[in-house]
This record gives sequence, structure tokens and C-alpha cells, in this order.
Amino acid sequence: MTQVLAVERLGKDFKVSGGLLGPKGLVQAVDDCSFAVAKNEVLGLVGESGSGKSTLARLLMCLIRPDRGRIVLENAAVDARSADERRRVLSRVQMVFQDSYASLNPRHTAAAEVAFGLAARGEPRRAAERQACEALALVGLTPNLFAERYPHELSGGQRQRVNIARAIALSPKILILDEAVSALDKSVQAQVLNLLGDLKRTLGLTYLFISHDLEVVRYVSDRIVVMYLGKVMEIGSVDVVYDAPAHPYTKALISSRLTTDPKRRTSAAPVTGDPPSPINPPPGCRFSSRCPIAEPICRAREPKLSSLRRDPHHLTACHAHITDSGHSLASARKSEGNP
Amino acid sequence: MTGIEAHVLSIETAEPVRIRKRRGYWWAVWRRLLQDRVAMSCACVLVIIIAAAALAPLIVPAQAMKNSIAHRLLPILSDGHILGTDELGRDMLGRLVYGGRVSLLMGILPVLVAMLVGGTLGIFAGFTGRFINMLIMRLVDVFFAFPSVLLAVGLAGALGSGAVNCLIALSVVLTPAIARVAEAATTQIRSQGFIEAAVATGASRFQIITGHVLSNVIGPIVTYSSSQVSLAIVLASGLSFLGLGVSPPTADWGLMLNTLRQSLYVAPMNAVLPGLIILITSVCFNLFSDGLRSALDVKP
Amino acid sequence: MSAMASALVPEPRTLLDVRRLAVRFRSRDGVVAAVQEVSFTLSPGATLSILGESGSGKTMTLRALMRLLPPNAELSGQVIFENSDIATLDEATLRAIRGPKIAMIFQDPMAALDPVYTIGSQISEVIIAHEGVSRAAARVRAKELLDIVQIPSAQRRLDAYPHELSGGLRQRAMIALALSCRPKLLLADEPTTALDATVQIQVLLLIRELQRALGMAVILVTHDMGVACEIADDVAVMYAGRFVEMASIADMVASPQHPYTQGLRASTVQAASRGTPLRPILGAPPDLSQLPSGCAFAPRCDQRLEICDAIVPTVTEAGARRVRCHLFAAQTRS
Repeated sequence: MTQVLAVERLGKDFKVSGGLLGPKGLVQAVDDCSFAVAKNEVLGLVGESGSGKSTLARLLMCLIRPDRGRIVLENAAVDARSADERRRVLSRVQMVFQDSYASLNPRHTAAAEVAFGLAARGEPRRAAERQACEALALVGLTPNLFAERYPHELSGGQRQRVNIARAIALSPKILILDEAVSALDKSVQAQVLNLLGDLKRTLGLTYLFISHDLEVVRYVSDRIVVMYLGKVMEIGSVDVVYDAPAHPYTKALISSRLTTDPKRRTSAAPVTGDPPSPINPPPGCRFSSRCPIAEPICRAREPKLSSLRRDPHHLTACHAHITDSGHSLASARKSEGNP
Repeated sequence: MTGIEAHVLSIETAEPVRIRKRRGYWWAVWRRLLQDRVAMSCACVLVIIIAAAALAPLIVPAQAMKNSIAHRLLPILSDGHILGTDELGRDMLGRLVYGGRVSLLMGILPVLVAMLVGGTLGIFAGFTGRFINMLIMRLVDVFFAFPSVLLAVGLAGALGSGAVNCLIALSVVLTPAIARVAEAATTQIRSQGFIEAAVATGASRFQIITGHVLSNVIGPIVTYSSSQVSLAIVLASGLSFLGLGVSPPTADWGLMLNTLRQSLYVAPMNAVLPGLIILITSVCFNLFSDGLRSALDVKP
Repeated sequence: MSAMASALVPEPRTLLDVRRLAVRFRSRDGVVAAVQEVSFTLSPGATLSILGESGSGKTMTLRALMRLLPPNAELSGQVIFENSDIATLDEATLRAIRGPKIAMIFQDPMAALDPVYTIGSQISEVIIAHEGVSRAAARVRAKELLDIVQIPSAQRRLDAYPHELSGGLRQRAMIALALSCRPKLLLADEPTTALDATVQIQVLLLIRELQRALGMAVILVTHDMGVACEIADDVAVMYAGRFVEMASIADMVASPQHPYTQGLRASTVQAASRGTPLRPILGAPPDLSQLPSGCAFAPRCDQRLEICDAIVPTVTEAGARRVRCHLFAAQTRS
């Protein structure tokens, strides 16, 4: 596949101060994260709170700097310290945020908000405004009616469209959608999802679709990355991962979806307890405290993300799927030259 | 029909609700302000006072400003002198009008300077955050620690008397508080989502401050500053009273209070007049800034 | 009443009887009807889910049942709970009902939990206030409650502050608080919307389990049909302040009758396969201050008749199903 964006062993820590007397800690918001995004695909990124998906989005947008690893954009590594490099990234990658209301300046009209980024790039004001109106039209907001409206005069779906217009006005190649439809009513969600699909086709975009809603991710994505407490747990094509998840966490996540048939209700929670504190995580696999098939090896050593034998494009970080890992469910390598 | 056209139809059939351009926050603020009777009456009074002071040479006959021992301390409503005369026989009303030029200048100009300097410092500190913020704000705090009157007197005393020095002293006194307000407002805006979104478009810090931050923080800054005008007028008057501001025969409300002090027991009504006009002006500025603050709070 | 005499009085078959409930807000710009003509009954131990999007009035309806409304709200209609009308009760009697008889849980646990008190002390305080037992006895009850809601290390957690608990545990603590006096009716306002998927299913199962064990009736407000599918017996769909369809959950899922419900079902991502466009309901929910005359859903309805723009439809009953729709009424008549 043609890779447009890749992350290699990306890591980002946040210090947690415990005050004068409390313990200081380190939150590894993202650690040893590696995956690639192919041209024109939709890569879904799922995870619960604390999984690091929002941190990852901000790392990709160069809003924060990584502590480890690197980002590769269009086959050239990104040096996040350089302002020129950051500009290069932002000319190719744009983001749509979750909170449609907070992402818009209450004092700016829709057109002004979209034009701001263009003007900041050096476009003269009139040209910026014209392009802004074109972007608004592309997302279905007729400029005559919507260009001069303020955020409080727009509904949730309309505001999110303004956010999308702002992002695509800058002609990116890759769009990161950070829970972009999560806060919308279901009926509006459908409208915006259709819009995103059309835009992708019309403008030839690549999407990184971040969400906690598994049903939406399944509908939208080609491939999926599953994250838990800052680590990648599984990567694979959507159908394969949903129908035959390899990692116990993915299994639990997919089984946690609410039923659509009242006659077949969920009888038991797939996984109990809450995610542990992300501060100073214990050694070994981060899911081991809640995993139904956890064994001593899981608590001792962290499993590396590796491909499954039967499918090289399906990767998982689980000892049960790593040959000769010491886990009882792991296969052993066949010895050579057996009589 | 293409997908995009379908989208246009799929959105709520937006009735072009009163397509009025510029119908937004500032328009709502203006409307609200116009409806505030108290603020508007104060504004009218201020406009009259300021206009009178500005047009002083045109409206005060030169005759009224001449000394005249014979007509010293005439009471209010005397013949030819509506507000009486001062201790040197000059027309009180004329003196007050001329005095307004200096006093109002001393009140408004330092506030404008403080708004510019303090606002810039505060916005820069608030937007940059962390180390630079700490550096600037602690420096500001050093000045803020002094009571305004003492600081004003101390600075004016050190710089020497005179209008310009008085202006400088007052500007320094007013800057820290405005810087604080600017910094607080900016810090609050800084954490909003649309600032992060603006950063994500690749805009420079300066572009974000002028394009996004300014329109949101200008409100609190202007409100606070307008409430400081009355303080500045009182401080300026105080400095003149102490002899640190302008010197006679320049008309200045504070100075007039000082010179009329000796006549307090002889002609109390005359002696009180400069103080009265200072009071009226200060109260009007304060009430107007209150009205401005309420208007800015308008949920659009 | 003596014990024997009270044993002769049968359990009321209806726990809650709501008749023509309405909530209006009066403001400078006019009157906004957030809830109109809501009527339903609830049996003991049953679960009703009120399904609606933002602005449908579902939260206001729930709050009206306990009279937890903002001061500028006007309540009309009747809310008959155990033979007394909550809508007209005096404050003292109402306070005696809130807690022991009817309890509420919210989307944000911090709406119910005081951050400066431990959860043990908060639960104990409620028990002591309503049942007058000693502090030690209340603490024992509190620990039992934390066990019931499946909070691990319950004894230790009694002395924990709300901020020391994770989101899921806080939610459970809030449920424990609500259950402290064994209410007959639990009102739940989107209790799992803010929770992660793996925690959400745990809390829903917990509510289902508790309801069975305590014989408690539940009214749960949600925007997610999946939540209703998991725990509800009956579902009421709300739109622009009115109930537009009421049916058992099985009937609602199998064959929704109101065009809005049908549209909701057809627009879900589950209803479409990847690559094909979704089928959203055109338009957006109306502004409650400018409701159209006639059916509020008519502007968006693809099956609308002429009468729909003129007259607000009344509720048509067909078996256990109630639908507020002219089209349905016409079909049922024929």
C-alpha cells in the first residue's frame, strides 16, 4: 500500500505532580505506538478513555511533541522541533475536533472562522473569504444563508460542518476526525457521516477516524487500530477484526456493544472492573489485570505487536498469539527435521 | 443529483432568518447598551463635560478668566457668574470648564496608555504561559503591591511636578491592574477549543492573538479600564492638590480644590464645586463602565 | 393501620400514573412548552425507557416526575404516585418521597456526589435522615450497598472521596446513594452516556440486576436505542416535547409505526453496509419556541398527509401500542 502517514514507536509522557506530599508520577499517554495509514483509506482508531487516542491525534498534528519515536509523513520523517516541518505537516494534515461549539470562536461568523486559516497562510483577504464560502458550499452550508451566521445561530450538525469546512479549506490530504460525530444526535450523525463519505470521494482524502463508538467505526473504516492505555493492541482490516478479534481486549470491546435485539440481551459483562490508573503502569501487558486469559508471562513481559501466522496484515500484541512466548495458548514452533 | 447537492437539501430548511449583516455579538452589545438608561444618561453627561472641556476656548469668554479682586468669592447664582467666582475673582464655571481639559486629559490619557502597555503585556503573558508568563506577571505584581496613591505620589515626587510627569506616574500606577485583567482573560481564552483549532491551521502566535484572542479579551479589558478612569481623575486631582501635578495659574480641578481650601469656611459652596465635578465625572465613568460590563455579558 | 389491616390492602397494580403532564417555561420572548400532553402508566418492577434526541424534552419529563424543575418552570397535569399527586404535594411530603420512594441518578455522578465528603458518609447521611438509625448501623448498610453495586474493596472505599474513584466506580457509588433507602422507583437520566463501552455494559447489567433483586421500577432516559434494548420492557419515543410512540421494546424494534421512529431505525449505521450512504432523516429537530402548527415532525416526514400540517395528532391506541400519528390513525381505522 502507498503509505501517506506512519508512526514508528511513538511515545509521549505527561508528568503528574502529586503536590508537596503526594507521589509524583508519569503517565505514558502513548507508548511504542506503530502503525501506517494508506492513501485514500479510512483508518479507524478505537479506544476507551485513557487509551491515548486523543494524544495521538495531537501528536500527529504537531500540537504536542513526542518524547520517543517519530512520525513519517509522505516518506519523510517529521522533525517536530522545526517550525517549517510543522508547517509542512499542517499543510497536509488537518483535524476536526469533537466539541463543535468549543471549536468555534463565538465572535466569528462561519465564513470568518473558515477564512482565518487561509489568511494565516498568506491568502489575501478577499481570496480567503471566497475560498471560505466555497468550502462552506462543499459541506452543504449555502453561503448565502450560513456564511454570516455566528456559532450560537447554528445547530450542532451545522457547527460540525463549519469545522469540517475549516479543515478542508486548507486543502489537506489527510483528515483526522477526533470523535467528530460523537457529540451529535444520531439522526444528524447520519447526515454528517454521509457528508464525510462524499468529501473523501470528491477530494481524494485519507481519513484517520478516531472514535469510541464501535458501530460507527465499523461502518466507516477500512482498517482499524485498537488502543488500550497508550498501547496498540490490535491492527487489522475491519471485517477480520470485528468477526474474529485476536486480542482479548478487542474481543471484550466488541462484545460490549449494546444489543439491537431485545430478545437477545447481553447476559454477562465481557470484562469486569475499570481500566487501572495510567500513572506508573505496571510491567508486562497493560491489559493483564483484567484479561480473562492472563498468565504470569503476561504480567512479566510486554508482548510485542506482531502479525498473526495466518494473516500477515492482522497484528496483535498478545502473548497468546506470539509463537514460543511461554503462554499456554501460544503455538510452539514446529521443530525442524522431525523424524 | 450529486452527493453535495443532496447535502444541501438534507440540512434543515434554513429560513433566511433576518439576513442582517453584522448581526452578532458587538451589535447585541451596542443594542443592550443603548437600552441601559443609567449608562446612557451617564454617557450623555460625560459627553457634555468632555465636549465643554474640548471647546473651552470657544464657549468661555476671555473676560471671565481675568482676575478681579473686587469680585472675589461671589456666591453661586450671582449676576453674570452662574457658579460664582473663585478666590481670585475668576468665573467658576469658566475655570471648571478649562480645568476639565487638564483633569480629563490626566484621567483618560494614562488609562489609554495603561490599556496599551498593560493590555499588551497581559495578553502576551497569558498567551505564552509558563516561564515568560511568570516573569512578566511577577514583575507586574511588584508594582501592584504598592497602594495606588502612594505609588502615584512617590513616582510623581521622584519625577518632579508637571503635567507630563504626572501622566507618566499615573500610567505606571494603572498598568499593573490592567495587565492582570488582560492576562486572566487571555489565559481563560487560551484553553478554549477554538484556540487549539486555530493553532492547528498553522497560524502564527501573532495571527492567533490578533485574529482570535483580541476580539474576546478586549471586552473585559475595556470594561475594567473605563472603571479606572475615575480613579485616574481622582489621583490626578490628588497629585495636583499636593502640588505634584500642574501648577497655577493652569486650571485643574484638583488644583482648584487646593487653592479654594483656604476659602472653605468663607465660601463653602464655592470651595466644594471642583470636588463636586470630580465626583460627578467619576461616578458617571463608573456607572457607564458598569453598564458596559452588563452589556458585554449579553448572551448573544 | 394495623399490620393485619394493611396486609388486606392489595398492592397497587399501577405504581405511577402520569396524566397530561406538561412543563412550560415562561420567558421574555414568550412561552416555550418543553413537555406537552405526556401520559403513561408504570407498573411496579417494570422498566420504561424514554428515548429521544437532544431537545426532545425527555430530561424535563423525568425531572417533572420528582418536581426537580428550574424555578421558572410551570408544571401542569397529574403525577399520581401511590395515590398521591406529586404535582400538587407540599414541600415536606415531597421531601419524604424523594429518596425513600423515588430516587434519581444522573449522567454526571458529580451532580449527586458532594466532592468534600466521603461516599460512605454521604450514603450514611441519607440513611440516617430517612430512617433514623444509628451512625454505626448506617455505615454497615452503606457497606452492604457498595457490595450490592459491585464496588470492589467496599470497606476501604467507604472512606474514599468521589475524586479518588474512577468514572465507573463513581457511577456505581451514585447508584448506591440512590438505592440507600430502597426506593420503589428509580429515575435514571442518561446514566451511562458518558461511560466507556466496557463500563457501560457493566452498569446497565447492574441496573437490570438490582431492579430484579429489589423489585424496583425504573424509568430510564436515553438517546441510544441499544440501551433501551438491553434493559427496557417498554419504550416511549419523544419528539419536540410529546410522546410520539409507545410500545413494548420488542414491538418497537420489530416494527416501529411512527415515521420518526422508522426514520431513526433506518438511519443507524447498523442498518447500512460500508460504502453505501446512510439514510438520514432530512432536516433537524424544531426550535421549541417556534413549533409548527400541526404535527411537529411533519416538516421532516416523508409520509406526511395534508392533515399533518394543520392538526396535532392525538394518540391512537392499537393493542399495547400507542402512536401519535395521523397516518397510523388512518391505517388503524381502515
